[in-house]
Amino acid sequence: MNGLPAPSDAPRAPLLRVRGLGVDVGGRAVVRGASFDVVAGRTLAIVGESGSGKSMTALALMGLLPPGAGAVGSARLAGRSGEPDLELVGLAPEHHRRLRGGRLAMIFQEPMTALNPVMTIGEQIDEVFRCHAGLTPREARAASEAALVSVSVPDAASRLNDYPHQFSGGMRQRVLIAMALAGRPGVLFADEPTTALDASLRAGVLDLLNRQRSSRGLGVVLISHDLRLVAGHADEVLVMYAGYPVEAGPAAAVLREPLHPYTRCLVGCLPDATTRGRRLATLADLSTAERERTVLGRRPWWPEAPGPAEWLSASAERFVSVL
Amino acid sequence: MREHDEIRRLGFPAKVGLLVLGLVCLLCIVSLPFTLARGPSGQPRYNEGDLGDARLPPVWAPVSPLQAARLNARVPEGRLREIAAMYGLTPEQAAEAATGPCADSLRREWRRTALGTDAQGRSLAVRVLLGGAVSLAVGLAAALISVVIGTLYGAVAGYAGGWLDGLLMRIVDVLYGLPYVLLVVLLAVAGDAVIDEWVNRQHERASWVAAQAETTPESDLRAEALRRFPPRVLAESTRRAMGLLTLLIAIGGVSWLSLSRVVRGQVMSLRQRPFVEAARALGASPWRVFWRHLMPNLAGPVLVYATLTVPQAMLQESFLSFLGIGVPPPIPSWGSLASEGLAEINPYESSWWLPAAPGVMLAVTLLSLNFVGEGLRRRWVR
Repeated sequence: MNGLPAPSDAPRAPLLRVRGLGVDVGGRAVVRGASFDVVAGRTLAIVGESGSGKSMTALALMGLLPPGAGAVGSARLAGRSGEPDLELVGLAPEHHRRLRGGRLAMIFQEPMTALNPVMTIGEQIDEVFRCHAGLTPREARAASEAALVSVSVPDAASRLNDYPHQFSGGMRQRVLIAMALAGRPGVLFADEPTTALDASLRAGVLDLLNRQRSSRGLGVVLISHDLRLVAGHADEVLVMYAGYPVEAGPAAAVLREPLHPYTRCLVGCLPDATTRGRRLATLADLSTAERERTVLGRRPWWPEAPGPAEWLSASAERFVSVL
Repeated sequence: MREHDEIRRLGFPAKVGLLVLGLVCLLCIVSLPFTLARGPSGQPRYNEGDLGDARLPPVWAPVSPLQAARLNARVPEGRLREIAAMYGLTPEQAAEAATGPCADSLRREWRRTALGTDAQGRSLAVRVLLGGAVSLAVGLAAALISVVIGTLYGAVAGYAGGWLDGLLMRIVDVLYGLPYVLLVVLLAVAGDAVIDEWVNRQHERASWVAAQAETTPESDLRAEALRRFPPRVLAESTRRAMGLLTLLIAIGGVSWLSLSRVVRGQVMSLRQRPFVEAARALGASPWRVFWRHLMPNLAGPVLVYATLTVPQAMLQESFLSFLGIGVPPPIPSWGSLASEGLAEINPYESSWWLPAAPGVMLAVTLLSLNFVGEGLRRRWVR
């Protein structure tokens, strides 16, 4: 169940090796057995509907789980320059906090509200540089300007003195990316980074993420429910359903030729030129309790399901859940 | 530029309120060197008066025959003789004249002040000016104390949450349940007792005597104790200032309750906002999140409630002065002036200007403050 093999074409060891990660909220399992590798310079997409546990997975790795939630399993963050690897599950909160921003960073879905409304953009980016790189205020300001330039915000020097409400949504998401990258993190979690943006701005923000990924050797975890976006920007994909990983593998292969019936269903929901005039396929709308039962037994998205052994197909590259 | 924008968006009543408030503050503060300076008699001007000039009406107000007779009696002997000679009267007749051409000449000789005088012949105008400064200072200082306590208290409760929040807020509930006058009086009396003990050192001596009593007879000890712990010398003005400070702390100490509740609510909603999580995701410590991200976002509501606390504190000070436990006399405050003035309203001879002047000033100032506070509230608290 937890055996996503490292991609064969990745020469480097993964930055983050997650094995059998689980999250409990109030004694209830919301994520179980999530396993994946985050490799420098590559994008891993975690795909699933809302409530499938993809955001919880990211929050658990960031150490930002809400009170009352806990993580189990293993997530090893590769040490930098000879340092030993770090186990993120069960790490002391203070230690985890120091990793955030510097080793792990995250950008959120809502660029409109993720910036502090009473601080200027410059002050907010400066803060990251001063905390993580220990720069003086003057150096931090110069670094902030460079950071804004690197995320293609026009007129960066003067915009540093603007407040968030003076920025458009796309520009704010760029600012958030600049802030997330300011501490030179190795792993970047992007939790639905373009969901709140206009369709016309999405491509720009994603291209920016891709550029930063390849130039800095970032390992990006792209959390999304948008399969098209994943198809265009991810190298690997992990499909989650009701907290369980159901299918994983190279993005192109998984999306072109989905093996798990749930993935097939998901891909089938995508409208394309040939579906014009026909009803789109839908996923059964299930309550959370039903989801759990589904995973543990019934599979309403595939009524004529044969026994597990009949359809399980795990090659070296692909992983498909038997559930 | 930004500040101009803010003022423009306040709305008309708030703008007028701001203007009036500014004028009142300016008047009270600019006149301080005059009102506090020593006059011809060597007393500070706010406490300088002649009992003979008691209860003079304002210069623009009509004079009753009774008052006129009293004023005529105060005209200097030489001047009276001159006026009597002018109209062919005896000085006694001239002094009694309340009407007619002689009265007009006499009237020019009266001492008259802009707002009249109080029962001790002190100029009410001077006292109202200084009283304004005192009242405003009390209001501002008490509001400041209550803002500091209330903001920190509420923010800590809201940010910490859990049992600490419960405990802190239950304390607030209990304090809310007690009548605030009782609290202020308790705080003021306790503060006064502490200062008294610090000055007179009675308990210090008594405990020293008790400690030594086994070896030496007590009568000898008392003198020795007095020699060892002499009462501290404290200037009368310092003592008054300390009394004022106690009052400030007492008023500030009870008016932070509502603010702490408001701030707690604000913090609880702020800490759910995505930018707080975003700051945490970038490795900001809880301390930094609290001071850099939460506190600045509280500025709006806190400013609004501070503006509304100032009139509340001024009113409380007036009320306490009215009860006689407020600003120590002879320092005037609007409340104590109004209270003194009210005692002068009687069926025999009413000095209506005594309560009117401080009352009108108080009302105008409080109204302006409330308009400003309301304007700010509309801008910031949705």
